[in-house]
Amino acid sequence: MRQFLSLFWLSFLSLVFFSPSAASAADYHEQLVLRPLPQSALLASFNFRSNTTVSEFEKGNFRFFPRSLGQILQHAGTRELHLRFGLGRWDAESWGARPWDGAREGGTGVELWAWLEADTDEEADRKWLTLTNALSGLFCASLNFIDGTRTTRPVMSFQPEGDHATVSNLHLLYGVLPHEVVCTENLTPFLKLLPCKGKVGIATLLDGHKLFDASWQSMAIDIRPVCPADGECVLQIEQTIDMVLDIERSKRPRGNPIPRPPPGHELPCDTSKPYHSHDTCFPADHTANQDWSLSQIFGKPMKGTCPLTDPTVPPVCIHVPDTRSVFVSEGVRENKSASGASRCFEIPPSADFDMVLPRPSESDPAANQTPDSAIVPPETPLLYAERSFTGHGQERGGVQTILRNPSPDAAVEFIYMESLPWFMRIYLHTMEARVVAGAGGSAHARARPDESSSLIQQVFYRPAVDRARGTQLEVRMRVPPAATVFLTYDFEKSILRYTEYPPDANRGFDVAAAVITILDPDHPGPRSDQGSPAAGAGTSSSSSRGSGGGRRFAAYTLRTTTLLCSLPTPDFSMPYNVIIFTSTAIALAFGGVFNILVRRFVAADEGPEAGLAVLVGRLKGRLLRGAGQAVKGKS
Amino acid sequence: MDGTKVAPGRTAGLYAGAAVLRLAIFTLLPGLANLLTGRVEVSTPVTSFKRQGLFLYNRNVSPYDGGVYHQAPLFLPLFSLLPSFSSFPIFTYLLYIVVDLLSASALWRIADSGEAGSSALFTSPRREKRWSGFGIAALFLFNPFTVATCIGRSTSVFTTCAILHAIAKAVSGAPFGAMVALSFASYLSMYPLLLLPPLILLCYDRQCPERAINSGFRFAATCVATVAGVLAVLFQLSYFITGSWEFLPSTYGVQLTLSDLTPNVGLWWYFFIEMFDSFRSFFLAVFWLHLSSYVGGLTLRIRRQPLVVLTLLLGIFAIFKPYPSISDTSLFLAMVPLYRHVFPLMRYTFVIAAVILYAAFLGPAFYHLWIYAGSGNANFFYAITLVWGLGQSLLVCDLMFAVLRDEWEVERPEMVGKEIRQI
Amino acid sequence: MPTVNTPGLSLQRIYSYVNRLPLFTRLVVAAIVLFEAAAILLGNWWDVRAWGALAPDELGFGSLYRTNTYPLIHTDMFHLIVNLVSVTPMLDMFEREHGTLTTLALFIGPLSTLPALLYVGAEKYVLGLHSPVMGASIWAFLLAAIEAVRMHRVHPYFVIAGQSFPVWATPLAALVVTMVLWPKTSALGHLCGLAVGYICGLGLLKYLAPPEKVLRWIEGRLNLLGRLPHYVSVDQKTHGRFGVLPMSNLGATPVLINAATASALQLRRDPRILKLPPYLSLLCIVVGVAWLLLLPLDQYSRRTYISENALLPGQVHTYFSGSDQNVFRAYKHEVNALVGKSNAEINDKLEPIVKGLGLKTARQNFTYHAAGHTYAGENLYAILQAPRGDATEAIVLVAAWENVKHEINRNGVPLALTLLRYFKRWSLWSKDIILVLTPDSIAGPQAWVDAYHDAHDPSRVASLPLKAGLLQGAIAIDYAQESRFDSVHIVYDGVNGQLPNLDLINSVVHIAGGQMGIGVALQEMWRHDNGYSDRLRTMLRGMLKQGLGLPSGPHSSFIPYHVDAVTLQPFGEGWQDEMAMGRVIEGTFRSLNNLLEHLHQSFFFYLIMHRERFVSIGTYLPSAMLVAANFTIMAIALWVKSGQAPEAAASKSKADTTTTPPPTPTVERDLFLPLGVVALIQSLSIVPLYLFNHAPESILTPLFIAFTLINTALPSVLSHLLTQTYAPTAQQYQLVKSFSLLLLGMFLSSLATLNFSLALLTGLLAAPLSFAGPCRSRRTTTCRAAAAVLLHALGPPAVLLAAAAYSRAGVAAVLREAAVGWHVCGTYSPLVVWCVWWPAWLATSVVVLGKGEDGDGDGEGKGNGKGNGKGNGKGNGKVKTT
Repeated sequence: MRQFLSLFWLSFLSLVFFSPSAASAADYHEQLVLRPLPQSALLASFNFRSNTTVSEFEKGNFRFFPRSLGQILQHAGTRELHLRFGLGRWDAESWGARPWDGAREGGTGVELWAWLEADTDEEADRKWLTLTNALSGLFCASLNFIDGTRTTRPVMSFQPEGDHATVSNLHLLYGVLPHEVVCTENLTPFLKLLPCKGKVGIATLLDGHKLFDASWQSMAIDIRPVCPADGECVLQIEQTIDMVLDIERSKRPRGNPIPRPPPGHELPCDTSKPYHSHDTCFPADHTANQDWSLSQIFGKPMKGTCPLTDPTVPPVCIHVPDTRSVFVSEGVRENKSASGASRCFEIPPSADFDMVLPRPSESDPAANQTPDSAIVPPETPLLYAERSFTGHGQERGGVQTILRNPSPDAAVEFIYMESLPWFMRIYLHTMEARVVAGAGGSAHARARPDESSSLIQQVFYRPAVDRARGTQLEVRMRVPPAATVFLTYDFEKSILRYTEYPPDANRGFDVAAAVITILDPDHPGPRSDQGSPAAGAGTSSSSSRGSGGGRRFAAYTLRTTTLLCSLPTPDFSMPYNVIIFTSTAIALAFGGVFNILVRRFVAADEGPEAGLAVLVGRLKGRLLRGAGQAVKGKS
Repeated sequence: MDGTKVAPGRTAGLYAGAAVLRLAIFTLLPGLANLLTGRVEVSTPVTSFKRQGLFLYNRNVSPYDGGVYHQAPLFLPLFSLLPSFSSFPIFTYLLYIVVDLLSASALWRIADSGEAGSSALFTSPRREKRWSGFGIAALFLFNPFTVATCIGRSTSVFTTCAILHAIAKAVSGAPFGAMVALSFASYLSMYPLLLLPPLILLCYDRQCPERAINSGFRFAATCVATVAGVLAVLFQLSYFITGSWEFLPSTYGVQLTLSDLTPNVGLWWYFFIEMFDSFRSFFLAVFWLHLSSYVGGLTLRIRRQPLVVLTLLLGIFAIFKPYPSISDTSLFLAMVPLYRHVFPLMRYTFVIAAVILYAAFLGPAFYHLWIYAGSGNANFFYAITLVWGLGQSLLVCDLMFAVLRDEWEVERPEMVGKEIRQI
Repeated sequence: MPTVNTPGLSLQRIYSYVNRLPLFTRLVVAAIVLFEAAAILLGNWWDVRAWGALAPDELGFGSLYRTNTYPLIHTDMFHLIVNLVSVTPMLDMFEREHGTLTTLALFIGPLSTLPALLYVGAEKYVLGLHSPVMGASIWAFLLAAIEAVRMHRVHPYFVIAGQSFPVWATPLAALVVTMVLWPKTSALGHLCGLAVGYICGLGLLKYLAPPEKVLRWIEGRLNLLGRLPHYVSVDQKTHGRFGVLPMSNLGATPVLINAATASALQLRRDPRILKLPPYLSLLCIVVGVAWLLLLPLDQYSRRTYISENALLPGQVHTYFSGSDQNVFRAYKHEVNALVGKSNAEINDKLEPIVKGLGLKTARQNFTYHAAGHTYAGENLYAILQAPRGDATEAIVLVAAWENVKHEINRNGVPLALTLLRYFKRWSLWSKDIILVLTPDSIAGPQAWVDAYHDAHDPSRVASLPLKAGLLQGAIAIDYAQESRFDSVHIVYDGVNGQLPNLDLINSVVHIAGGQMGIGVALQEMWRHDNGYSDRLRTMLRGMLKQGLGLPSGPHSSFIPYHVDAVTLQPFGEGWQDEMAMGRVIEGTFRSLNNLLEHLHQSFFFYLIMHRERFVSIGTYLPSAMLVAANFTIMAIALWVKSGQAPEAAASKSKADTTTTPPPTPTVERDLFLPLGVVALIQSLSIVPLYLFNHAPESILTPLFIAFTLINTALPSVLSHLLTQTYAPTAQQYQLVKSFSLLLLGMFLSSLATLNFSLALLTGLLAAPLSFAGPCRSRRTTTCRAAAAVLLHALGPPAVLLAAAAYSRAGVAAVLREAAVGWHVCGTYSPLVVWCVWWPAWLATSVVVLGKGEDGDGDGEGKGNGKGNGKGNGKGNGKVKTT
């Protein structure tokens, strides 16, 4: 072990004299960044990026750029495309800020927004339809269900990340499918887009079982034209996979995933308890971060590196304090970053790579501190958001979003965007924002209109049209420092035609996550750099901002959880009965009325004389007589 | 007793009492007011007092671009003229109370005119037995349905007021006023337009001898022209207010196509929820045809008493409208007491009362079971709306029977109190 | 004819009616009853039904007796009752008309044989079927047909809604109704009866009747008249018109609404039918109760089954065991150390433990005031976020620190903690799991659920800082007993008698009983032999709890929010340990976790009588509706009668001529006074409601005593005032009673859909009201006193006292419970007692004590007691005087 360590240090020293050169535009690189999180969680973000010059692209000469996707883009006139597959929820309280400042993640389900080149809205819609259908085929996702009712045109929330200096007539369309369940059949085409197809390199770690057993995971595809100050524009595709693995769960062998109770003697007990005995065991505190190895977590070691990748970009980085020791397999060179909180590894092309993160030993200085100091403490996000329904019953309800600004001094300004289905009729006049100083929602804070107006600076509202268009709501707000803001509004649930309900009508309808885009204060502070998990590697840190330049729009993006809205349901077995009953009721009334109208009275004992002609004659006569009398009466 | 000479003190007392009652409910139980505003029995999509439309209007967003607001554009300036509801609700309350009182006074005039008992072409032998305008106005003002409608701030009270005033004008021999009022009613909620034929007849019968137009056709033509003109003016006005014609589809279009299927006490909503898509438009046409089919028949048959036709039509609308609410029923029930003199000829009064009361109690219970408790399904509430509709149609039929028999006994006086049948 | 015996149907009158039954009718009734008794008693040795039924195949010469025996034999008690009720009066009439001997001859002979042969012929040779029939209903239809033909001769049509229907067809209508109501009755048999009846009614069967002089001769020789009691001689027989029978009696009782309207229409025709409604409504009550008693039988109840396929109860293997028990013991030590501490201290201790499991925790304060007490506390709850899920759905696990009996939940709380720790290890949860630790079992959960749905009053209950998605289900652990247990007791009643979806209970039964082999008990039936009596007891206990509408456990507060919840309560001495309990809960959670949709498939209205037997609403609702309908019938009858007085006179004048009486009553009812009285009484009812819900417990008892005293005096005072100021007429009294009964019926029938048991209980307690009427002029005082005493004995205060005595709790405790339920959980039972039952009771008492000119009631009553024409005469004489 000692020799191994010494070799380790040697390799590091030798690495110091290297200095990473700037990445050229038309190349491919991939990088895996590991970041242990509190409560035995591990964030692994995979990032693959490849460029091709626009001119080549126009010629149909894609290099690393996936051909299948490229043709779709050309066919649908798409200039910039963002596709997200999300699953699970990011636990901001314990995991802190989101990777990539939330720029590379979507809400639960599938999210797609793109800038299409079109002259009119109709043309844009047509191209959008083409795009969604093609993508749904490509990614085995039901993107083709993004129809008019699920498509919105955000005005404030999104800005193009790429440079579109040349084209002017761009249309931004945004569609979301909250109910879509992301699974392996979406991962496979995703990997197919990579130059190395997941056969070698960090992509070999991507295994469906592990990925979709993660507590939170998000797959992203971003395509944008990037025009560096010098040189020609390149079309850049960036594929990102972020996942938070529960180390304890991932270390379970594939053989028996069932968490049987461990044998009594293996149970970590708190022996300080007075009643502690062989059959009584107060479980020791939730093990903060255990030892793990790459092959344990991902089920297999990493197979070499992709030969196409840019050698200057280290393929694997991990964020742990320098005080902790990390063991890696032979021939791997480690170089620590200046910040002292991350280190990267350079891996020989054809060698399996494994990494062991041992439990901080007694000799380790990290041990005599709190267990959380064994990992890089996650930074607090700019804003905490939690959205939930209020009220009960299937007639009407309310939506309440609790927005908490943790920073003691800086106010946060952001855009809150909701795209709601048309059967949730929101009442805008009930929307109010009330601020509660300090954390924790206290129900006693009363709404003050002046205050809420100061909180809400700008509202963009596009009401829904039944069966044609969903509600689009964008609110520009600012939350004062160290304050909690309750944003609430009421809505009414409308009842649908029985053919419009899904098969599991009583489950309810998913409501897409709200997108919160925190606007960047004019001068990007230094803190914004540490947001990216790839802080170790300079190139990706700059590129992770999107569009490389300093011109950044969103400092931080976060999405709330989706909601489940239960609508009133009719009885689906009733159509015939309803038609029959209602018709009967109408027939009774109609028959009753006209029966009395057209038949005339006779005494019970008088004989009947009937005949339609007679009746008509009588009616005519009656009317004429009436008119005649009227005339007489007047004259 | 003769309603014409009622001490003014009692009048004031009645109106004051009604106003105080409503005001008390508004101020003391605001919760109840909001509850009623939300009840499907009280407020339908086309009449509900939701300030959404007003909110958008005040922010210069067209309220008609979207599926939330389905009411006539002229409401918007009216309500935006009032001080804001959130700060001074009292003004809104007062407006609604005043509207109710106006309707009551119109009803009073109708009652005192005695038109119900003896029209121009027919005089009932039983007409002495009638209730005074005071009693009828009181019945209207203190009818729980009316109170609930007023408390629920449903905009249908304006329609009710307009219709009642149209009839009152017609009875007091002012055809022009009647037509204007009717066109206002039709502008607010469309269906009163079907009341035009009997109303014209009523005006024709009651027009005062001097400056009377003898030729029925000329008279009718003038009336129709008046209505058309007033409606055109109103539409122009609302065009200027909203700046586009898109209010037409989202106010009247919604009533015609029933695109909003929110439950109500009528028969349409569940039918069109469960209707197959391919037949929806066909049945829409059939339902509207059915609704309008009564006008001709009643007008012809009961030519001699146009007021009866109006009453019966109001009753039928309260059952078969696309978006009926209890306010329509309250309007019908307000007209029925005018026919006190034929009550003895009605056959099922008690059954009708029992059925309507039962439905009125069971409806909310079943709605709660469906929507909130979740233990019942939509059929519960639907069944009750059926019963409700049947009870009302029974009342309509019975009233019609009584009136016709009353007419008939004028021809056959010896038949009074005899067993009769229809052939 | 005004107050005939419509009001005041007394037992003595029924008795007299029974006493006046003629001989053959008695014999038939006796025979029928005897056969039924035999069928029940000697069921094992001699199958009467098989012996006597009219089975087409077994009909040979040897078994011709069947053609006579089949009408006397019935399938079950219910069949028997219905048939007896419908046949007896008609047979009575028939015999009175034709004399005993003729009736005997006819009914032993042709009138039972002909239909039988007809039926056999049709069934066997036409349809080729061979289903045996039995029951006297065939006679009922036969007689009905005869009667209908006669009626048709008198006046051919009656009019409903402008349509005029031929009278002779009414039995057909009855036949159809019967078919609809009891599909299992043999329509063909009834049809045969009808056919023969029509033929006979048309007089085509005259020659079958024995000639008169033979009869006279026999009578003369044997002196039957002298020897046989109740014998109707050939000479005695009345030649007048047949008594008219209500169509509803043929259409067998439960068609009450039809019956009511039909009779309402008939009443215009024939004042004599005014005798009927009291019997009808008595019948409603009797049948309603009988119906209830029938429910536990196998034919009427059903086996439970799981209708939500996604639940898959008991399909998963549960792993909660092994070293988790060590953890459980540790947690139990912790909990035991906390016994006796204050709520805040307990939460301070428990919160770090829950945090240690890696859950997000939060607290909530609440304060309720009820009956002068303050129920305050702090809920501690924690959310286990579904590993891969989104915050859309959640399941709740409730462990209250104290159960309803205020025992410390010593095992429940540690078990819940251990379970959460165990659940954390699984990655398969598709829904969040919320652990709620409440200080008590009523207020705490209520506050939490209210706040979760934002239905809370912020001034008393804090809102929740932490939330998950829609609640899909809740399980509460109430595990206070120390020792090991034997079976699990499922408590499922919610507030106001709302129930969880039956599927939840079924799956718990499946998992505990089927998978784990743990016994399951319901409604504190600790041992349950699946027999009639135990089923009945279980059902009645359930109904009683439902009717009281008080919360029965921590789960109760969830149900009103459409969250299906039960409380699991281990009991008994056995060898099952806490781990077994934990596995039951684990299995249930796994089932709930499978749910795709909110539980909606199975029943929400049911009565459980055994863990695998239940009755659904369709089967039991009629009994409550019947009880409610009896009030409506009486109301309608009173209404019609109140408008009828002069018409009776008219009919009397035209007694002999066959022209019908005028259809429209010419008397005007003045409604304002009665309406005013009813409205006043209804509004009075606010007073007791407010008093008893807002008085502190200390003064509840004196308050109750005072109220009882006032209540005793109130009716007489009111009626006195009424008489002094307005001097109401008998008609107005009738109207008062009619309106109050109408209201009562209406309230009860709408209540029956919300809380069946409460409606039924109230209806039964209020049943006497529909029969209590103004007293007769003779021995008024005694009668009034008696009536008053009777009414008070059945009034709300007396019943409350009885309930208190029965529950050995004392009035104050009962009232406090009611007040707590009212303020905390929104129980509306007090509302029903004070604003529905009490006003009706008061109104009736006022009517009973009323001193209107109701003297004619007596004459009517007696007059109608025997023959009809005379009664009319007397009645009308009096009416004229009034």
